[in-house]
Amino acid sequence: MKRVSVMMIARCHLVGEQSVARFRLFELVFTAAFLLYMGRNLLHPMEWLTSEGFHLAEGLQRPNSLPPFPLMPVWVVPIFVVALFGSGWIVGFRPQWRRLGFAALALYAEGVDSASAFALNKIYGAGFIFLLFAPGDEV
Amino acid sequence: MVIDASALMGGWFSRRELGDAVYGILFLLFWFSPVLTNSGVLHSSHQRSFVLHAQITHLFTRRVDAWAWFEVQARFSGGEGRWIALRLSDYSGVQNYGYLTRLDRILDEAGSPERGPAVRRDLARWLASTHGKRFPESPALREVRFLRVAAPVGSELLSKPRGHWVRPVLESVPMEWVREIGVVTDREWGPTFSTSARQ
Repeated sequence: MKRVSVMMIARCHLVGEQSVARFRLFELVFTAAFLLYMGRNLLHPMEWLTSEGFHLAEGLQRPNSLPPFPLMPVWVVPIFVVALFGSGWIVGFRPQWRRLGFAALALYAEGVDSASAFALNKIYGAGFIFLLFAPGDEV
Repeated sequence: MVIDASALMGGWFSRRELGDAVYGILFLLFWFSPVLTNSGVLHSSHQRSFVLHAQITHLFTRRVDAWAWFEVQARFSGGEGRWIALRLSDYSGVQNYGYLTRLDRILDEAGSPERGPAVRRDLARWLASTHGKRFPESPALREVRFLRVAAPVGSELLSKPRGHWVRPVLESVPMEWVREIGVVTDREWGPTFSTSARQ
């Protein structure tokens, strides 16, 4: 009779070899959704990222929110756009480089403007941090 | 199938499995335990914890009996003291909340008892200076006032037969629904204009 240990069951479900296909699908869909989400704010980039829009002073944000990050000078905004869509391209077409990706951008979006970052933004931030550490370089 | 508890920790982990375990611990530390902590489960008795879980699961366990929102009005130079409603979409294009802009989201902070006065002052100053830039031929803002409207659910004024939901016009709602939260005058953004809002 084959003996099955608790640890073997746990290994089957929690750790050990898994097909990377589902993970890869999640990563692609998650990235596409994030680009859509950021793209909507990018319809008005100056209001969102520079001092042209109204941004709450430090100490006036909701409790539990991140301390505010510095706003961008206008000339940095195109660089931000290139970095954003460049990171999307990396996840899609050069997944072995994706550790360079999105976590920082999602965190910056959370801190720079709490008024346009809601729960979804926190989910993207946490999701990309997990993708940053995720195995599966071979995909 | 026989579950052999003595083999629980049998054998060393492979390097790969050890890596997986590290990811599992990271997940527990940085995702699962913050979620538990924020939901209050870790600070409560079992009975309370069950109630909290039920509330979190059901999300809305009480009937909402009033629907509240904020309005911003302004007095202009030469406007004979009339209050005119400001459309926040004239000043902000980022529509993050359906048909509402991020300024509508910031208005929620303007009603806070602690941070509200400073938020209202900064926002009124910003509205005055942005109004001057965007509508140079319009008279200047002299005063900005913030109102909170609380409408009882079920009122005729809240029901719209088709199209997306819009708030009833302020002039049409009964005065007892409306509460003034604060007024900021141009003395607070006069010639020595300075703001604590981030530049």
